[in-house]
Amino acid sequence: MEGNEKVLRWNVHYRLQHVLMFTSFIVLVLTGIPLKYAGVGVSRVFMNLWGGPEMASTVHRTAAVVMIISCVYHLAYLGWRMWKRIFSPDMIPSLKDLRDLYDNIRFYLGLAPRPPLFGRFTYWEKFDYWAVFWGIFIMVGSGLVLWFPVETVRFLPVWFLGIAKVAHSDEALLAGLAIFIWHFYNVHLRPEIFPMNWVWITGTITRKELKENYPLEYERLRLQEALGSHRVSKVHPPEPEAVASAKRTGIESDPEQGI
Amino acid sequence: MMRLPWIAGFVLVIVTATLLGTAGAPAQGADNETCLVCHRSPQESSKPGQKDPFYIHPELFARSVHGGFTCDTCHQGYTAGPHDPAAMKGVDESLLKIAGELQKKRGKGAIALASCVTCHYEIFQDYSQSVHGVALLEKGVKDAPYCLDCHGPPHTLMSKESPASRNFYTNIPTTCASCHGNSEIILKYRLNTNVVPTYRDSFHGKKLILGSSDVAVCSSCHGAHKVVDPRSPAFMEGLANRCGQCHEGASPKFATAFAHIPATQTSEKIVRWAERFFAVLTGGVILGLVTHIGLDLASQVRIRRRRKNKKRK
Repeated sequence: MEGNEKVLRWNVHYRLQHVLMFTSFIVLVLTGIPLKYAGVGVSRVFMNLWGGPEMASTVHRTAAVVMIISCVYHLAYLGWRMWKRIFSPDMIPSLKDLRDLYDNIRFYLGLAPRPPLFGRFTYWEKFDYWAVFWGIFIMVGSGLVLWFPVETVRFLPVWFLGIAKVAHSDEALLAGLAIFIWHFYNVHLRPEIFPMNWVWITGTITRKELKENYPLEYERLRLQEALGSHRVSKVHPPEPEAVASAKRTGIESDPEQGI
Repeated sequence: MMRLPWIAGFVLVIVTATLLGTAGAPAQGADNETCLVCHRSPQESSKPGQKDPFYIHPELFARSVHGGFTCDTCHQGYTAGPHDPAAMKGVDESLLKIAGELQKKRGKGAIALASCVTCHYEIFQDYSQSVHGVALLEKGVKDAPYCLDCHGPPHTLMSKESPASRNFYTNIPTTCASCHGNSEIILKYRLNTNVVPTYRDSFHGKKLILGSSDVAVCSSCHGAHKVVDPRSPAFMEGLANRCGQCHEGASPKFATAFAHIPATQTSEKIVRWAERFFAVLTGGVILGLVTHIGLDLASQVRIRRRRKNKKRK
């Protein structure tokens, strides 16, 4: 059926980075949260599942290393793509994202007939990405301070340890809530998506899905195909004709399916 | 009719005489059974001796670290009659002096309280230089701890290797908290109110609660018998080395990191601000995200309903 051909959205590197990231994340949460809430009775049970706090500490630090590896991998991979001139800054936030947020909320409230036309990544996907970026920065930074407190105070004031503890503990809570409420809603629990968005395994979505969810990216793809070149650099911001074309198809397509 | 009370009276006199006869004999070196004639616990199954030191449970005593001792190892000087202070003999002068100080605190049994010194003299020397020792022996602070306040009831005294001991490594914070976490004592003597809360919130305290025995407890930094004022240079002097036992290369600067610091001090204020920042950030972000989820769900429900209606038409 037309529209069912697959389009690559996440190549194997991104998928692997995601798997490394979320497995280490889950282990870090499961070993860290019982320590944050040590006073709660269940925490001790949790800790015993890991074989006691000492073992949990080792597991936590091992998972942290895996997470750091996933970050280094990601950044190095992006660097490689830049070097090869195939990097496209699709994740960079722009003014359009703010406008999209505004338009999307208008759509949610019934003030607009259809959602805004999203590019390769929606504003909430960009939010997820940058939230993790900020989170990793805070967590790895404060985590290393807590891992090496003696070395830290050699060149930083002592209260840095206190701040690191607060930051590590509180940012962990924020990250955990954001992932398990927000990210899980968007990629698992959302009625249109349940039980999950399979792209993290398959790496692909269908052309139909691309057209519905990321119309500007779909138009860019069509333009690229029409020009008969696979080497057309990604259009950013989208060229006016792509926007116009997408708007046309957006109106033509059923807005009630096109979310 | 008069015969029975007369016989009862006669028996009573004989029994009393016998008891006096045995108890009245020199207690020095006497075996514990003599004392147990009166002091044996009436309830063998319960835990006597814990609350009422008058009653001794012979089996529990035998299992205690000092179970092999005779009563007069600690209860010295009972040479004649049951407990006639005037007849007390053979008690060391220095022991009597310490007992005199303790008398102010405990009243009865001061010799027995002081008698730990007989064997543990070096520890007593450390203790008498400590904040606790100075408070009790020099300033006469009645609530300041002496041996038994930290080590537990004397007749069931356990080795610190026993998990039930108040001095078992992981039980030490609870033992210290019986005063340093007691609001009455904290207020009365103006102790640092943050000692227990800051420890409980620390990684040391948290891991301890979670079952680790590989963390610092009170005595790891403060010592046990020679607890000095933590504001004194004497305390700071060796502190870095104590941290260094676990945190290799710990500097004196590092040692100040864990200071049970009250929240009013500047450095902690920075931490409080960090806490506030994250509270606002977390609250704001999660509120925004949940709102977005709610709006998205509502619109999805609306679209589905509309689609159904269309199909019906």
